[in-house]
Amino acid sequence: MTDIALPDRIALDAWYAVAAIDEIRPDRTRSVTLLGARLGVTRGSDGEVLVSAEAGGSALPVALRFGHVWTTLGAPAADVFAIAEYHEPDRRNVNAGSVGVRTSGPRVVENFLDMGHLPIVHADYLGVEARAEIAPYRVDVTAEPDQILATRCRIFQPMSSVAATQGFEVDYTFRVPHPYCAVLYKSSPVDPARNDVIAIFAQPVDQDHSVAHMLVSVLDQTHSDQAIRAFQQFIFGQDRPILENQIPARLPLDPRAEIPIRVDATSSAYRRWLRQKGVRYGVLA
Amino acid sequence: MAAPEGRALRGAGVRALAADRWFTVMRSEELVPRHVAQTALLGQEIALWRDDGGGVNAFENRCPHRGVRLSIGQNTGLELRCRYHGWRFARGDGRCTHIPADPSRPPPAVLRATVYQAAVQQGFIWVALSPLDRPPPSWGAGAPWLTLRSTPVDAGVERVRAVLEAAAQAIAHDAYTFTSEVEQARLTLMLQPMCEAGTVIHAALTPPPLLADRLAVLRQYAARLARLRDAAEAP
Repeated sequence: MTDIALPDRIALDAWYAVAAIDEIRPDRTRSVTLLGARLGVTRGSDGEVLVSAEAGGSALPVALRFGHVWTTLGAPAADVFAIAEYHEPDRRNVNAGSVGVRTSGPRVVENFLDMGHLPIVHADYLGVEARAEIAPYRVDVTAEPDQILATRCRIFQPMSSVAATQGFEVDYTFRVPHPYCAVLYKSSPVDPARNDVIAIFAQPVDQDHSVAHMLVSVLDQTHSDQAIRAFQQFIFGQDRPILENQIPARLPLDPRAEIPIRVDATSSAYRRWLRQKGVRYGVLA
Repeated sequence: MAAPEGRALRGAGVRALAADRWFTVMRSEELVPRHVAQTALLGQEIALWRDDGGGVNAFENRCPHRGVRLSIGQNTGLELRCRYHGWRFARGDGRCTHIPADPSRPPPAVLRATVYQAAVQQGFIWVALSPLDRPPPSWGAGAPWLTLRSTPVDAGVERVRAVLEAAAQAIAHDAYTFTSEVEQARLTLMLQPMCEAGTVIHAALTPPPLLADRLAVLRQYAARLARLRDAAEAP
């Protein structure tokens, strides 16, 4: 059942990825749903992308960022957030898929920020059960830029990416620059001094359904786009049954609703941040 | 017997009316060792699991940490392990015994799964959402009976009740228990209100038929229960 509740101002005025650019065939219209509204995304043969409501009306704002088409139903105060690494010349930027998930956008984002599940849900890839302990890390919430940053996160990963040839201690930074999007930076197995970047852009279809658009930006020059995409989809395929079995689908912001522990510091900060912003869509206030 | 998707959590109003009693939720033989079954009662999802001591545990089907259904977790025999972060919840009191991400400290005592009272009686598992100081009812004075296959119905309990009351031979003993006398046998029907639009009819036959007749009798009652289900689901 589609929820038709009207989105709040914050949800309306945000930018959302609604499709990967190279997934839209030229001269075709892709039908997508954003915040309960049906939209058509059209890519002309000249490459120009148009987004408009199927119900009619003028064209909606469009931004092409990170290989995705972004749009909004409102009037964003700022551009789409930046990911500086995306523009580095030696990077492989791969659209790693758009996956429909029967849960809210904030549940998708919170799972992406969650260190504790890596050795359990992604055992023998992004962690090992025998070394599941998560060391303390640092969380900073800033107003300028308006984001959450979790730093000094460390975890042993047997296979941190498709390019990893052996396990190693991976350094992570998690960043939340948008209520429905998150970016992580993790040590690259190719060059330990630099980071691979993975971003998740949740498109809230309605309050209980979303599409997770994934971007992988890596230093890997060896693997095909298909192999890079397949690894990320394999990982997300492990997350999805978890996400779809979280009750309720909307993220509870009351700290008493679900009990956090110390290693949930990022998640707790995210819930507080959403509450302080007054985000209502896809959450339980 | 999974609750119909998306319907399980809407029964809060129904729940208040009938929380204070025992309900049959499953035939005991169906809850096999090291398995976690999912059921629902009055809109409340329940993870049912049998521990290695043979005890039946009925936990709210929701990890207190991040809300994941415990029915997709693992039954280790002594604990139910959440599939998301590997937190383990002890049989009996549901207390969290281990957190892999923070293994050196004992989990705070407040961390526990919500546990409902469960009991096995006359071949059925019974669950009460509120603590009760009385055992489950013993229909037919505890005489031997044959438990029949439970029948899930896509209809609310009021509708199922109306269909049973319309069936001439059914006698209501209370709002959820009916009997009917058929050919020297007594059929007992016990209703499990899962959610607003889902009910399970649990059934047992007294006395049990002779072994030689059992298959034919099972078929006969399966057909009879299917007719009741069809009548309750008819628009």
